Amino acid sequence: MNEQEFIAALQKGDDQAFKTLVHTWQDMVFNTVLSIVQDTGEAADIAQEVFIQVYRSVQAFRGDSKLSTWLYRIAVTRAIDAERKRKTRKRLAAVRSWVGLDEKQDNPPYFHHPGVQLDNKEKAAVLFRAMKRLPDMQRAAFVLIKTEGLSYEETAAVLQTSLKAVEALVHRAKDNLRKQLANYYRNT
Amino acid sequence: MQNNHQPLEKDFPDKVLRSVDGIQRAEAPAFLYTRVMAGMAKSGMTRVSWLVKPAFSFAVLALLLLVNLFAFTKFQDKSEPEPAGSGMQYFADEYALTGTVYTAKTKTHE
Repeated sequence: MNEQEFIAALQKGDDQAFKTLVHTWQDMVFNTVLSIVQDTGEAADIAQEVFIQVYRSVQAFRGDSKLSTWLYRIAVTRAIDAERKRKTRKRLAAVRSWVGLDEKQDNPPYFHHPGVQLDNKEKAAVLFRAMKRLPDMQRAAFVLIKTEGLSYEETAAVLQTSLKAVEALVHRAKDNLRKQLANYYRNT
Repeated sequence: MQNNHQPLEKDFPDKVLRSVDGIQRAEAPAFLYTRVMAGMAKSGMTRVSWLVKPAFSFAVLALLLLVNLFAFTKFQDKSEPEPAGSGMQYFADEYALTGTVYTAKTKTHE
């Protein structure tokens, strides 16, 4: 069954096709979301929502892009939405602690991605913390290229932007990360 | 993360940036498909078999009621007529019982 036939089966509501979709793409979706939200439990919840959204909106999928590109797009959008909500909650908590309504929030623990090689574990944890401070699009582009191994062209298709825009995003992301890491280096 | 007694190298930022080179993909938790299906069922998205759809259930119920009503009206008048004579006597005659048949009022036969 080629991709067009597979999409047609999904659009007909074929349960077996949907099961195949989840089993085929679950690691890709989970890893993308996990690299953005950096929390295993939250990433599992978001991955679940991604597939529910796919089931709900597959009728509207016209096949303009590859199925994997469409899945990446939904996963990235969902993960970034969750991060925005988390940041809003964090700001609210900071204000509440500032006015004395709540106790001061501690920094979250370092995130250890399970796919990082053991000898890079500590450095990668520092990098993931620095990534949390990147603007959304820079972070999405950096994650897709660095942790999912997508090409610049594929990343441009996922983020629905041009190749040059992706190159600029990744360049700025690396600059921002270097600055943060240099500060970390000076303060350690 | 780093020990303060151990000085960091000058190329620390670049080393950190390279730390995710060759990263492996994290595996999704087990039973994600089951979770997805449960999430869909919770939000009422799963396709329900036509056998358990309310419209079908009501249609079957209405059909059963109609059949019962039809049977009731059709066979009500055709029920077997009551045999002549008292119930006890008829029973005794039918089974050729001899002897006395007592009823609440009188002794009818010796």
